[in-house]
Amino acid sequence: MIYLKDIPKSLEQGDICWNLPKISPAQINFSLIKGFWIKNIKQAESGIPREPITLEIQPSLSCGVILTQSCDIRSGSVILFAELREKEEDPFSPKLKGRLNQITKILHTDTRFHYFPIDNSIEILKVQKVLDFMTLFLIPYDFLKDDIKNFFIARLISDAQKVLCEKISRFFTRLAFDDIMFLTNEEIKKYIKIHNLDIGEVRETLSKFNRDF
Amino acid sequence: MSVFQQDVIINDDIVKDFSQQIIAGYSQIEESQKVITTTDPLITRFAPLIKIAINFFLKILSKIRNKIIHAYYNFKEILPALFDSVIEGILKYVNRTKKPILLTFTQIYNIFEIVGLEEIYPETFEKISACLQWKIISSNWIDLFFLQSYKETLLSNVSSDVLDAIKNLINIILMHKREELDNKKFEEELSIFLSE
Repeated sequence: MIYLKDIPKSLEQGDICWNLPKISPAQINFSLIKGFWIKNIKQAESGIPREPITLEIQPSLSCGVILTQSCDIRSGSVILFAELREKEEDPFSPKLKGRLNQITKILHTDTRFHYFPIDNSIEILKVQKVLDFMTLFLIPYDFLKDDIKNFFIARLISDAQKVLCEKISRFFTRLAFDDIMFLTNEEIKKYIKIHNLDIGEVRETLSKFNRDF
Repeated sequence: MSVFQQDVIINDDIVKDFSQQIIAGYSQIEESQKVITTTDPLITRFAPLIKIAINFFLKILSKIRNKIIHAYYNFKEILPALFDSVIEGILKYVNRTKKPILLTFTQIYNIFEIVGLEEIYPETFEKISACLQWKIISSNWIDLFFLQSYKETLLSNVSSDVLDAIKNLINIILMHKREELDNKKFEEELSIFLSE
């Protein structure tokens, strides 16, 4: 298998950890603070002193994979994690051929997700997991370093680690463009349906390219 | 007093009504004793005995009533602690067995409310918050509407510990709801990607 289970002395890129205290925007009710925040910005513009705004956040228990490069993992640094998630219902095809195609597709072509196979000897990997690069969170290395055994689950073997590095690199260097500028109106109709897009927003985007839809 | 199920609860009012009925009944019997006029020799002969027996019975009943009321108030005092222990026991059981809980928090509260539970200790809320945070239970187990209603029924002089514990619990449930939405979005996006 692709996992090494011996507890290491220090952490590396690609290490799978659990019991992590995740703090992410999903835990914060931004709509509650937005009013106060804007009010304070306006107050400052008018010369009125700003008011303190505090947020109470309870960290969420999470399982993640280290994205930070191994050379940057040292005392005083902050480690970037992406959450290892599972779908409640098996997202993969029950048919072997379809399943293989889906796994290959995630590994080869997708930039957002990465695939972690089952290992029945590891509790949290008894089901297939998907690494979601859109769920990033930070934890100080000093929080983890003296208690690695409480957080560490498994390390990827060298080849699997290289694949992950490529996926990380691809996620952060993926092209930022609007797909629809390359599509015909007929193709856009299908694209809207597949991606469940708002037609108003699509029209707004196309208007930037002087196109009608 | 209950806010949620006024029609089914047994509480102070019922005990008071019960004692008032006994006193009223006793007074009625005493009044009726004064106006009995009969020439039936059998009734005339046994009337004093019946009166003594009734008096004796009512005196015993009166003592029992006081003891029942006393015991009920004692029981009521320990109810929040008992409720806390039951909730803690359930949470420990779920943590150990990973089995879902059959009754929701509100249903368990309603059962205790029938026997007079009026107050929930802040510790109970804190234990639930901890279990939610450590993902031992689902946020669906405790109803947000129930918590908000319970908070509204609290007296203005309630301790800040109780209010803080409820506020924290509400915050963590809302956080879970936002995470659930986020997870749902992830599942939909992954499904769309894999189905293409």
